[in-house]
Amino acid sequence: MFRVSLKLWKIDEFEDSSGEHQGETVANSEDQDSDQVWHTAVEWVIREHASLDPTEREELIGWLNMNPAHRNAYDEASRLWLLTGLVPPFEPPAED
Amino acid sequence: MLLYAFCGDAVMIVEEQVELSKVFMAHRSQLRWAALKILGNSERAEDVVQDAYLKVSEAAAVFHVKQPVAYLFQMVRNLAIDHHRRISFELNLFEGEDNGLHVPSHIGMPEATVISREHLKLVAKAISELPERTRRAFELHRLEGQTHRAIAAELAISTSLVNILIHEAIDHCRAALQST
Repeated sequence: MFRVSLKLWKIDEFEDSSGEHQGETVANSEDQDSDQVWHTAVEWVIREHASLDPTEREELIGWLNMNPAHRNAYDEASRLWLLTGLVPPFEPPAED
Repeated sequence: MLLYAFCGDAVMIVEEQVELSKVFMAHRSQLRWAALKILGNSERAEDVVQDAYLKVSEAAAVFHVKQPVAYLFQMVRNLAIDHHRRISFELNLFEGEDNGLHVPSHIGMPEATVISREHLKLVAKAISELPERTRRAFELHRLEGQTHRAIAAELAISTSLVNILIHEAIDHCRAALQST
């Protein structure tokens, strides 16, 4: 199942690469893809924090298993989430 | 403008950590109880309290924590919720793959994530740089655990804007870590 998803991912990339400036198009579409993956990963972490119902949880697991890049982005977002939780609430500097 | 009171000086750091240890010891059983209510398992609750202590000690080396009791309870709650979520999530994730026979050994353990002081500083600085409304929305969500709807009501904005602001805050923190 994992291999199939990976293959689909490659086909998407290949199809995106048709065009005059092939190299450039591929680079741009990869950037957009990784931005999109990051955004989705953060969205999952936010939703997870609020609580997921079993259907949503399955959906998240499906998304994570779809592509290693999804898992990496999710792990990075989770780490960031943990760090931000350790920062004490902001306090304006005391006025002298 | 650096708005956080970073403790540059070693004496301050030691004082903060000693102070925090005292607060921790004085409230240990209540902290464990707070974690137990969320996790429903005393061994895990103990792990989370221990983990919270280690992480908060690192944080105390970096930040001046004005209300250590409230901060410790908030951290224990946050970590317990994260931990609880992670356990149920990872069990789900690996369920069915090998009939649960090869569940990775780290499951059930507090996250092994090492908290780097440098990263904490960078993230705090990034948060302090956020526009007021963005920062407020993010803190209400991340630290106080408020729902999008409650934050929207408090800031008089839409729930979708709340979500956009939270994303912006996280993206800004990510960029701050990536710039190093």
